[in-house]
Amino acid sequence: MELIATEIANANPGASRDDIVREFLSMLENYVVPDVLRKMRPIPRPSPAQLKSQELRMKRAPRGRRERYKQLQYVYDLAIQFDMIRSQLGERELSDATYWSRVIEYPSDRSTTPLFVEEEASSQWNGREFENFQTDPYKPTFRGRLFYEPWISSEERIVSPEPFGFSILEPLQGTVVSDPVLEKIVRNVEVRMRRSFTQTRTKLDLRMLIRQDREIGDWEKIILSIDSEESDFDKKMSVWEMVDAEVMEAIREIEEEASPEERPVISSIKRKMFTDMSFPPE
Amino acid sequence: MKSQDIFQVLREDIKAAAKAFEENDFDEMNIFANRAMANVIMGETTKYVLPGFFLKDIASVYRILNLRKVKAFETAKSHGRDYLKSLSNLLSDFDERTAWEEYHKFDLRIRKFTMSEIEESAYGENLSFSEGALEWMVQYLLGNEQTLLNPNNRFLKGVLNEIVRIFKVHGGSLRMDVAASLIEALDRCYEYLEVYAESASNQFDEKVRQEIIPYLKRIADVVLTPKSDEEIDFSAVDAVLWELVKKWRECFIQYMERPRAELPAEKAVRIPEEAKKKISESLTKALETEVKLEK
Repeated sequence: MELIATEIANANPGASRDDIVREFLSMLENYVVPDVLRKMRPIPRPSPAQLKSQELRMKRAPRGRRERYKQLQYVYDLAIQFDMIRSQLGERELSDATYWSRVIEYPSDRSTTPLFVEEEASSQWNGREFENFQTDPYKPTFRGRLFYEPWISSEERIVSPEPFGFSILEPLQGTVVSDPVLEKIVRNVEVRMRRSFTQTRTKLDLRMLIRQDREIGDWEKIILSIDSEESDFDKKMSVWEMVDAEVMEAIREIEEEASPEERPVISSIKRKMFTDMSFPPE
Repeated sequence: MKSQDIFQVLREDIKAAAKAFEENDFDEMNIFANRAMANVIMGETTKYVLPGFFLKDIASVYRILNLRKVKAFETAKSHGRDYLKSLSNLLSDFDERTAWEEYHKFDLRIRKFTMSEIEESAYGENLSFSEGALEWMVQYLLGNEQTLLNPNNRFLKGVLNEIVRIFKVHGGSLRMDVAASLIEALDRCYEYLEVYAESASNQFDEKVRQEIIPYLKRIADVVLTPKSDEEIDFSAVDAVLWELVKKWRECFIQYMERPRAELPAEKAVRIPEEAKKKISESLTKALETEVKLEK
């Protein structure tokens, strides 16, 4: 698997680790697993008689047999899920009432028919609770929502909010638009921050803003405010140091490429630029 | 239809588009832009077609930037926000020249965000080349109008692609923005003529000659006659744009969205076929081992 991951990374030198993982998972979900399931031989399913007989013998049986019973149950569960997913891959929706009513009415179809049990409020059916099953497991009553164990979820993956956020607040936004030198710096700061922190797992919110003092007319600072959910103080301090270093590096890069006319403007922006980490009150 | 009612609805469409922009929902923004155009064609004021037309372009620019995961996306959005603000201010005293100039200003600012790092480091602004290229492209379009009679051509898209590429890399004048906008509007109408190419009576040639080719000359006139941006006759430009947008929205009412040949979506990461095969094989093997019963 490592070799494959390296192969993918080599084919996409510009992609971040997150991008590769995301695309890899999406490819597994959308291409590989459906394809494998479609092509795989059907799982041999134990007959109902086999299962019942194993269940009755189980209590007095030696350990080896008990293990075999457990294994039969496991395979039986797996076959059910497998059939279920295969039927979905055949583009039959779970909500297709006509299909499912036919399934329930004509159990002769059962060799390829996924079996459903009603979802109970407190428990789910599985092989280990077989003894408590009062009705024929092959003709379950169809009362409530269909339940199956989604060992492969067919639903869209829930997208959690990105842990990294970068925003430019007003009035800085307006200044950025009208000042090409400041725009270059802010743009480079954003690029460097995204490069360094997009893969962060701890929530990190960076906001660039202008802070002014009403008492002192021309007192104005450009602040990169850092809000990190890092609980460890030392780690938090290290995030701050990294952000600060990236800001300085971003300005230095712009300074290097700047024209002689732009340099004093950059120096003045540099003097006004600060980073600020918010700490929870003691 | 009362002009003030249309104006009121236009304001609301712009407000909705601005909200969608804030939420990075550029597909929704595109829909609001379409609405802004669809609503104003029910009136008579030609210049009211501009906000919707520009908003649609902006939605498409940011949609692409977002998909490409451009690293300076928030900085790029500052320019969009600024433009949307200017558009809202413009509505209180709608001047068509200002509307075009503001859009051109936005287009010039955003172009560097659409460039790759290599492009940005290698190319500099060259307005003189862009001007020459624009004139060449428009003349080329006029000189090869017969290509449009072939139902399989992508001529308007091709010309547009060149103009947009040159503008992006070398910069450009307001004239260039006007040309690109008009050709784009014409192409949207042209796409609908495919319905005739598919019909048994095959009226495609006739429709192209009647409804598309005459606009080539009109576009060339409004774009090439002025020798500088100051000389552009915006009433004439807006009149052509209005007619094209009206035609396009009417086509939408009659035929709705046309299915189009889609290019495969650009993916950030490419999984080599060989890797896919290896993963499939190892997964199949693992699953089969998993369900194998003891003898």
